[in-house]
Amino acid sequence: MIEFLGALCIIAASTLIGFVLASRYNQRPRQIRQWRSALQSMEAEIIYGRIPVGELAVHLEKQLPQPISCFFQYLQDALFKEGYPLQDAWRQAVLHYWPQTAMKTAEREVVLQFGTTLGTGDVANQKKHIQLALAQLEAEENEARRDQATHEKMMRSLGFLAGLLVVLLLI
Amino acid sequence: MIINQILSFLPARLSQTIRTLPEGVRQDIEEIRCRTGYPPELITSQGVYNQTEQVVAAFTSQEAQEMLQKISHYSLYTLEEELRRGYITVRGGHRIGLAGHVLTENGRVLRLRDVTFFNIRLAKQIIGAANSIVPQLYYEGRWLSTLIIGAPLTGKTTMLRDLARQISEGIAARKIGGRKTGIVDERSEIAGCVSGVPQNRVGPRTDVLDACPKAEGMMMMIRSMSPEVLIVDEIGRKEDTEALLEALNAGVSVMATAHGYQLDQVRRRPALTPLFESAFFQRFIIVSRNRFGGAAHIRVLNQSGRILFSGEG
Repeated sequence: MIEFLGALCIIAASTLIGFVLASRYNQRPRQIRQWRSALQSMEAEIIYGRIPVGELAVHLEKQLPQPISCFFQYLQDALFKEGYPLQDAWRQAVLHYWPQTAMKTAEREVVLQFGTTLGTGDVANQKKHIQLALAQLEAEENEARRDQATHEKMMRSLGFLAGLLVVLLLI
Repeated sequence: MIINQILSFLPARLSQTIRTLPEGVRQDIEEIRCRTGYPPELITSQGVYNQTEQVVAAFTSQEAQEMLQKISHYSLYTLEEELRRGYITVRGGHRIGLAGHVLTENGRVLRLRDVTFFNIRLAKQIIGAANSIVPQLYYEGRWLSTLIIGAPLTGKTTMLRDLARQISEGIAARKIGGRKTGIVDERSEIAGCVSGVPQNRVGPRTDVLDACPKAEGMMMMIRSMSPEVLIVDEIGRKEDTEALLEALNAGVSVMATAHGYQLDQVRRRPALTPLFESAFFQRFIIVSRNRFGGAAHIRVLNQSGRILFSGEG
């Protein structure tokens, strides 16, 4: 009886791990998509509203869903509470936010690179940088979707099967 | 204190130096000039403040860039119009004049690219600057159209701003009620608006068209806000005259300023002659300031050039 319960525990645990890993594949394209819509909102606010970045962060934090609204919260904190210049504040917020998400370093680099150009040029310039970041993120998103298609199911079944294997070896 | 509002824009070492200046000097600063490659310069009402030169090192181009970034709140795209006009109005109504490398297109100014010279002009609203002239300008229940004439830095705009405030607030002591006042503030000098909100005290019944070309703005104001008194700074072009004559037809009193030293000199300006022919202005105020820091001398003249008031203001 004890053995049976133990085996069940092992299988349950490894299945869970599989699901968690799979959900990362599931989350990543969604979170990249969130970033793209965030950038599009920024583009609109910059081009039509000429709204400064600090104010924009307040707007976006309210408009956008979790988890990305957290990022704009961090950005505000770094800008207003700690008084960093924008470039440093952006970098800090990105580095703080990224480990909490399913996104990888490739898209982090895109966002960091975008941050170095934010607020340093005129509207036309800003628009170009946003378009560039959007295109790069789109490529990342496509790749993330391909990964999702191939890896998500595999991770789930792999978790379960790995548990089963361990149980069989132990019996 | 007023100067604290702009210290956050300055390089850390310069704002530190200013913080350690004697209280009297700090209060008296009128301009802070930063030129790339030279030590920043402080100008008080007594002239250039010399002692800073030994202490403060030259202003670098790196600092110039950072300063512009800070002024724009790290959002340079918000300053596109300002970089074309060459000056920025910041919170508190202070104006920062800019110079540097200009980009042009088809011979027209596109915008400043490398901003390397800054002139921070501290706004100092003087409540009561128009006290001495107000009694001469109100007659039988209405404000008389007035032209304030003076050379640069004589305090024309300061006087106009206070006049706007008094007209809008009304003068309880003389039982004059507040009037609907419209300010067309092309250079953001009168009301010192930031995002459309006046930073200077211009009265509770005042509407402001900020950064609007004067001639067009006057027409807009008359059509849309039906002011009883219109306030406008530095008239002098042909279009201004046309718009002013329109105001005359609409029965609006106008308070305006013009550059000049004497009434005759202004009267001879071709663009302004129609105003004199139609007897547009009923009062003229001549402001002069003999030397740097000296008190302004004010004369109020009526239409025929008779002096109604003469004194220090």
